[in-house]
Amino acid sequence: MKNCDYQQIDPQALPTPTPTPPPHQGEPRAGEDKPKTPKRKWEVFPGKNRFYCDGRIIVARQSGVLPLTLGLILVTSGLFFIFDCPFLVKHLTSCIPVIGGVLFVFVVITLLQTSFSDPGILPRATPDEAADIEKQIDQTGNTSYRPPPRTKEVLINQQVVKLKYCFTCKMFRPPRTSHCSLCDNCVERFDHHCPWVGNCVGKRNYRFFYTFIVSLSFLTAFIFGCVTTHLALRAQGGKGLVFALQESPGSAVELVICFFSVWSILGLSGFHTYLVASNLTTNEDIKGSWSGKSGGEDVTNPYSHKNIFINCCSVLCGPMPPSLIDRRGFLPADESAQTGAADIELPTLAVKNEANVFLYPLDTLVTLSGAVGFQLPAIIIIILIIITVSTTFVPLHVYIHVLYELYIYFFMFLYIMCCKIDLAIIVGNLININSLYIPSCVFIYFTVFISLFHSQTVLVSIRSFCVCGCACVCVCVCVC
Amino acid sequence: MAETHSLQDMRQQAAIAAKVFIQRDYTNGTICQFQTKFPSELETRIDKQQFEETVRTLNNLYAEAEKLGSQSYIEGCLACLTAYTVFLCMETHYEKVLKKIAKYIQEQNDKIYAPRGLLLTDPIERGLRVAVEFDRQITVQSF
Repeated sequence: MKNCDYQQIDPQALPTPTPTPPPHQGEPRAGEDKPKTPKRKWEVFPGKNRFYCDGRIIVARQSGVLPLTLGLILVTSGLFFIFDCPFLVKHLTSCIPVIGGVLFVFVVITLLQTSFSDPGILPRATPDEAADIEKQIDQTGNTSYRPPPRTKEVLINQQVVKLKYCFTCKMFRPPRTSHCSLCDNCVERFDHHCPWVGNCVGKRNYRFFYTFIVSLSFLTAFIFGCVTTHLALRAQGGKGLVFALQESPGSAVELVICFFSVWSILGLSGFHTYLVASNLTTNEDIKGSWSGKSGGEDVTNPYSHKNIFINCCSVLCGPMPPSLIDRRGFLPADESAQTGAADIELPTLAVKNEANVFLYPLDTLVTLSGAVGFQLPAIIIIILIIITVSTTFVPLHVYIHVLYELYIYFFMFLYIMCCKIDLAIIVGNLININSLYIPSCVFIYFTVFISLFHSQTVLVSIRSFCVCGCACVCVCVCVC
Repeated sequence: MAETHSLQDMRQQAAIAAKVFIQRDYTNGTICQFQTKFPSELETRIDKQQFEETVRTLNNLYAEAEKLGSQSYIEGCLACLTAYTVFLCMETHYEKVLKKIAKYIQEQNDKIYAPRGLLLTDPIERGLRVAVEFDRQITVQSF
């Protein structure tokens, strides 16, 4: 932490990093209104993060080994779908690419969400707030050299917890918050900075991270099992393993990658499952804050609910806190002038989010993409790729059914997305004969009926009911 | 130059004297609660009961946002099953309560605080760390 140049904030001489002093303001611009568009807050963010897509995506300054992680996952899964799936579908069952596809989609989506979302960064204290804190601490009026490190003690659930003062962010850190030196931010419920993911893991993205490592361990174990089965089946009849490997060279690569990674990933999943069950963070576990090593007396974790099930639910299924740094908000006009330009990376995908473009499907998709960012089209593209790859190995009727289900999901997403935009417009549009909703609802019901009547087995029709049930739950949850 | 200097002085003094910060209360853990202790600077401006009522209502609203109930579990499980893509489409329960809080603060400002020359800022603008009340009558600069 670079706090060697710390200076005590003297209330008599307020630092003014952003507001403009009066004589300076008149110079660079002609009138009061600035000719340029106002800056967004991400452009003046003080930490060491980079922003893409006009502030929608946030990553740490060094991306770490995220490209390697992504590359390994894509290469291994690609080899699996190309080399092992055809053989296994022919000899075993066609569920294998479907399960593999679902796991792969889960892994990639959660990895991207972990890397690109805000981990729970706390915005730095404003100068007024910092001065107020200084005033409260330093009643004696201590002078120029660096004062001793400041702590404040609070009582949490009958446990004494020390809150430390962060010299960079100029505030007392809330409990379980830690300052990450790589990202130069205070992060709430700081777990660790993960180089594989290229971002800190904190309160907001811990559940993504946990789902990522759990689904990755399932995927790795699944691929490992399938490759072993594949090679075993090929090597049957006295042909030998070497012959099997020569016939399917991709499997050898997969075997090596999976063998070396499955142990560490399974170990990491097990460790994080233990942390989730006892409501601890990696940081606390490593430091031994609650295990009684540091103090002699009885220290227990004050944040634990003393019940494994409740701990798991609160960490993984608890309410999702919002991002506190408001990256896409606009700076007030008088502050935008002073700040130096931060890294402005890729061109923006922002499309104006007008409410009444539901009449034209293509326009709707473009508008929705603008509203949610790049993720929705990317997810659709990934899904289409999976379909394209898996249709080669899957019988036609199963393919059509999967396609219908994906259509249903897609339209439900559209519908729910529109719910988010304006419920009043939806209610109005439902009775408007020109809207998209009546055709889309009709389409949904139609496809459900088709798939029910044309389904080959009872199992498939039960699955359709479940899909519709999920869709209804989605609508209920978002409307109420 | 002298005039600028004294304006700056006044502005600094005004900025210091006029902002009262209500800090977070961590006695119940990491959930968002604010201290209900009545700040001494506001003694002449506002009724203590009124202030405590406001802060207590805010605390209850934040507790409702972070409550671990069946709705948040359903939302969490649904999100997990869809690989968290449902967060793109749906407004979470927390965000809905934050909107309620914003409306409540607006209403309190209009009815109670603005007539007395005070303004309560929404804590979300300060990173859920402090709620700021400041005295608009003292700050006279117009830039």
